[in-house]
Amino acid sequence: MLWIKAFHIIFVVTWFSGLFYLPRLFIYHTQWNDAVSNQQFKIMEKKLYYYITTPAGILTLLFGFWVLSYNFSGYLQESWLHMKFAMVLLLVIYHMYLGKIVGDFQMDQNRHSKGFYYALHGLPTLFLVIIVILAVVKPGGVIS
Amino acid sequence: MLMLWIKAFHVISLTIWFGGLFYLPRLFVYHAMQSDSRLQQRFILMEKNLYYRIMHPAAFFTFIFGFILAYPYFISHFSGTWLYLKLILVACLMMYHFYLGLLLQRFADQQNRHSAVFFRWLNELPTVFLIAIVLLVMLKPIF
Repeated sequence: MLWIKAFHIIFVVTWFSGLFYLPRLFIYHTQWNDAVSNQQFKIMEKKLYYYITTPAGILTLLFGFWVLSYNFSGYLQESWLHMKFAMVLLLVIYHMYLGKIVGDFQMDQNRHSKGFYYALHGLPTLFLVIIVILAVVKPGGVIS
Repeated sequence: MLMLWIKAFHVISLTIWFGGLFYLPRLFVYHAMQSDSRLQQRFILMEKNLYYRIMHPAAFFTFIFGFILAYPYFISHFSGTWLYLKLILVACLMMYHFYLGLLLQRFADQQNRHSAVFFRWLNELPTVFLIAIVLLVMLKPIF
């Protein structure tokens, strides 16, 4: 079980590196949109999203559920886990939304400003802080 | 309870730190392959932002929170090998961190000496560190 938990954490770290850097690439991509930069950023975004972020995200979820499977009914009574589920669900939606933006950039159809991506860029940090506190501190009691 | 909060912030900081440790060598790969001088200047800016604004503070906080977590072990003459092994790996990771800073400076001075292939290999190192460190902490093996 500890091995599985260890690999869950390893994939979380890898996943978040993508979730952090993709919106950062979108900021630069919006700021520098000449032809050479545009080509370069398209390649960087595509590789980061499809080769790193998405596989790491899928493996994080798989290993996370694997950890839960050891004591599923027990975990389900912990209130922190319910909150964590809600946050992870939002994070997955965020992940897929990043994929949509990667696709828009690939077709040269970016619809957003640099300011929008700055705001988007702040979100994964917020998710990380809340999720890690929930998982480590385990606040709240048992649901009776 | 307080220790759990410190542990949480240790984990948050290290995740941010590793985000940079993973992506900075990746930026070097693209930078080394790029011949357009304007884009090279942009890579320098991207690398500097990532290194000085994200990785430096994140490494600092990881270290501080980690030190507070490890302190009770030190004063109690803790003999678990896993912690010492982990600290050796962390020392290597710090050296890797500063080595990335040296490479960044060489890029900024137009004096990069390495190929994209070299940076690709360099890019694999933090993954090895991450796996080894997390396994040591989680399993706390006895040797």
